[in-house]
Amino acid sequence: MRVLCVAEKNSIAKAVSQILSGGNSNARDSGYMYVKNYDFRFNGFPFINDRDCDVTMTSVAGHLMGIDFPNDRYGWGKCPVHELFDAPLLQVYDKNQKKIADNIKKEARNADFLMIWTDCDREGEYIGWEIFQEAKKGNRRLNEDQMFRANFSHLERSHILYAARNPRRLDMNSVNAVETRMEIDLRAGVTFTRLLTDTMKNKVSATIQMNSGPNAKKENVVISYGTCQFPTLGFVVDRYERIRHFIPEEFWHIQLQIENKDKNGGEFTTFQWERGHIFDRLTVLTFYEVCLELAGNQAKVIDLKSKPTSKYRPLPLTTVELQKNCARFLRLNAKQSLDAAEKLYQKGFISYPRTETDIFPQTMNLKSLVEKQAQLDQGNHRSPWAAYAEQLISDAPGTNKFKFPRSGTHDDKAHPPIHPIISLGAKATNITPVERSVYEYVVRHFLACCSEDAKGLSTTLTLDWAGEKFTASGLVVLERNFLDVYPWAKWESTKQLPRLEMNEICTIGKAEMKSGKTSPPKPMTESELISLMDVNGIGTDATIAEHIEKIQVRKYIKSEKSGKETYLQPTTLGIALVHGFEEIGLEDSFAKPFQRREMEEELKKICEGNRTKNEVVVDIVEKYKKYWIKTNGSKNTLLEVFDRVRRTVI
Amino acid sequence: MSLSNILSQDITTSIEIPSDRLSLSLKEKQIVEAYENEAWLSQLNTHNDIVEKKFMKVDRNLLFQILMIENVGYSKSSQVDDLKAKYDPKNQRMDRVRQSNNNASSRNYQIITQVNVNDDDDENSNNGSNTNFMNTGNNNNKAKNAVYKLSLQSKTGAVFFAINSTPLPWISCPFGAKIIIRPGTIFNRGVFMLQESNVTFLGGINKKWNEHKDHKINAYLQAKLERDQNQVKQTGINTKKRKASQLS
Repeated sequence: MRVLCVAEKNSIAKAVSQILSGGNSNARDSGYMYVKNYDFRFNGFPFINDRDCDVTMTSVAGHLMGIDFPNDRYGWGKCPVHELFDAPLLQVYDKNQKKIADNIKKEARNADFLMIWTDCDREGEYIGWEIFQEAKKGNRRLNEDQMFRANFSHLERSHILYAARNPRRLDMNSVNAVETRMEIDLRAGVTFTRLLTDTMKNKVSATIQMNSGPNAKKENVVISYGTCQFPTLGFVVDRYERIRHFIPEEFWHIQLQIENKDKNGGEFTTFQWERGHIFDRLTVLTFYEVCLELAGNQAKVIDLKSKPTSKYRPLPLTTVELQKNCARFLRLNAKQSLDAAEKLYQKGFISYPRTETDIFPQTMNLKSLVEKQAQLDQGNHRSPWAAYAEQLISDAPGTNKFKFPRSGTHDDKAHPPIHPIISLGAKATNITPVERSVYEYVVRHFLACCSEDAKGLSTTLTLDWAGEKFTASGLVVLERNFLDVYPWAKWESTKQLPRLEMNEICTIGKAEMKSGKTSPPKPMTESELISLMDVNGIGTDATIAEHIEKIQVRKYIKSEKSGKETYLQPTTLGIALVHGFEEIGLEDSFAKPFQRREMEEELKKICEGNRTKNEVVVDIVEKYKKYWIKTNGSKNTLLEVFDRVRRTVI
Repeated sequence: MSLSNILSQDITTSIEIPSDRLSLSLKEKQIVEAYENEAWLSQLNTHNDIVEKKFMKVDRNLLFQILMIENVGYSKSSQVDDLKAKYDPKNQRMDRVRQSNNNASSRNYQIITQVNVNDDDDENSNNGSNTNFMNTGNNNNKAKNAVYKLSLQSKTGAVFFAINSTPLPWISCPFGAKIIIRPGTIFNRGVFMLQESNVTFLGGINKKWNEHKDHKINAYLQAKLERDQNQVKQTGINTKKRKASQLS
């Protein structure tokens, strides 16, 4: 008996072979430099009754093929663009994909069973199906009955063995959903990209030429449309316009100052008006004068609350949180942090980094993972957090002991939250500085998850001044707990409040009417953009970074440093594209997330088996066709808007 | 008859009061009485005289019609945003993760803006990425403490302002609705300070005033914003504004 196993990348194939073979696998070349074939014997597959069998484990490198239009007939300039809405699609291979596909055909020839070991997400399911198509070409005896799929989310030994012993079937609904998305993205992307590029290329490259001087290298300008690129750009442009049109507004509020008699220096505590900021001076003046008239300088303590309070430890880590926090805490962009996390996963240091789940399964042995971070066998080379991990699981007295993490509300049913697997010693080589800091973040986040919340006492004093309420609060931090390992969360004790009793009448030192002005929001940061994309369903945790990168490469947005923050600002071209489409007035605005979200909902229906691929493709492609025809008839609008934006922006 | 007469009319025009008072209900009598009472400060004729009047107490029932209600607890820009999102949801600006359902009228209407409260940013956290906006107040408190500025008109045509120091359940009423301000209410420099306990809400509507209400309010707020902007330009003291345009 012979079983062919195929993983999504070589590092996984290698790691899984190591585990299944007990370290006895032989590597062979595959014909493609970055893929190896690993041969070994294994006796745990249930579909051959746990009998001893020959296994070859190989891999692909992401997608095994792409889809495109046949180039001879439908290439750029070879056909009227609108034909592409109905043109047939081809499976296409690039040079490397060809080599990988040949290897799979060859290895499948003598296989009795095929087992898919791609990543357990929607995309992985589809890649599994691509592999199956290819394997069938090499071995016609293989059919769906002989194909199984391993269900795994990280490379820990017992988990992998369990996955090998408990395979499932490929989920064809997920495969269809991915295929639907690919077809829609291709048809909409290519048709609009050709239209936009043909329309705007000359004007845009002339502008670039003008701005970069006569000696600059002439760039080949492509003005691409992507179903995720445009909403991503839209968020940035919306913020830009919000700032540009911002009008500061004056507001007023009332503050009371009460002397803190404990202190000799005459220290005052400020009490804030519960009504907050009021955007009308006469209103605040009326309150102020009426209170002064009715109560003079006397206020009464009407509430005095002291209650224990906590600063919650973070929730288990998802991909989106990882990217957001690496941007915020480590100043890494989304692509850098995801790439680093991928590498760390492939090297076995952390779990699979693409996950939406923020709940750890109750059965997971997290304590042993904490123990690995204590690095008790590392002597003097322990990481800065090792002592923290050690005391978390030790019996020594202390308030901060291992506690099972909080549970969030998301579960993608495929992968647990991101967590460290093995400890990364200070001496470890072939780790880049970025990988090391992402690893440190993942570990600290994980240890914080497994710790106690920080505890404190918060006191709130409420005063009544002729019916108006004013409050001041203070915080005393009692136990720092997780804060000790998570330096990015800030929680500090505040100034002491004046000692006042319930119902005490106190003398107001000063009652003031103050004013202020609203200030414009800050330009978009990458971390904010990630949140917006996530909340609005633009891209997936795995592709959000690519979309942001793409619109930067296309020069729709640029990043600008200001102090220690980096902001994303739209370029003239970016602004012009968004407003150009607005002015054309399609029913669904390209630069808003609604259309994409609708499609995502349709894909979910396919996954749940409630709609077919064909129905959804026909519906959505028809819409794009309508929009394309309208846009094609309004090309001049795009050019006019570009000129207008160029005049006003620069 | 007389009741609907008063409630559905502009009280500055002449209103016929039925001669047969005995057939009126208690409430109707109350309305007629408030209407017939001497209008508030009708003996004063300049704006300055009224503004000089500090801390008076109302001594009789006074009938007013509501011309305008403004929520002064929210910035005008955010109210304009909410109105736009309501009648043009597909083109609203999407650069914010909305975190609350506070302003229910527009939020319920929309097909869109999913609210995804960031679970990790618990109440104590201050390092969230969404905190740098104008409204930083606690939203629950905000609803409870909402302050409105009403423009009220008496039968003589004189216009006064009113603010509320307690929540008024009828505050989202249509323009032209009538209220009776009762004795004991404080009046300071042209402004009545209303409490639920010293106002009787009578209802009523002026159909014409309420046509395209959202658009009217929007135009009103926009005009006010423009005025703010011009003031800023004239005085030239606004450094923040300049900073903003530099960034863009």
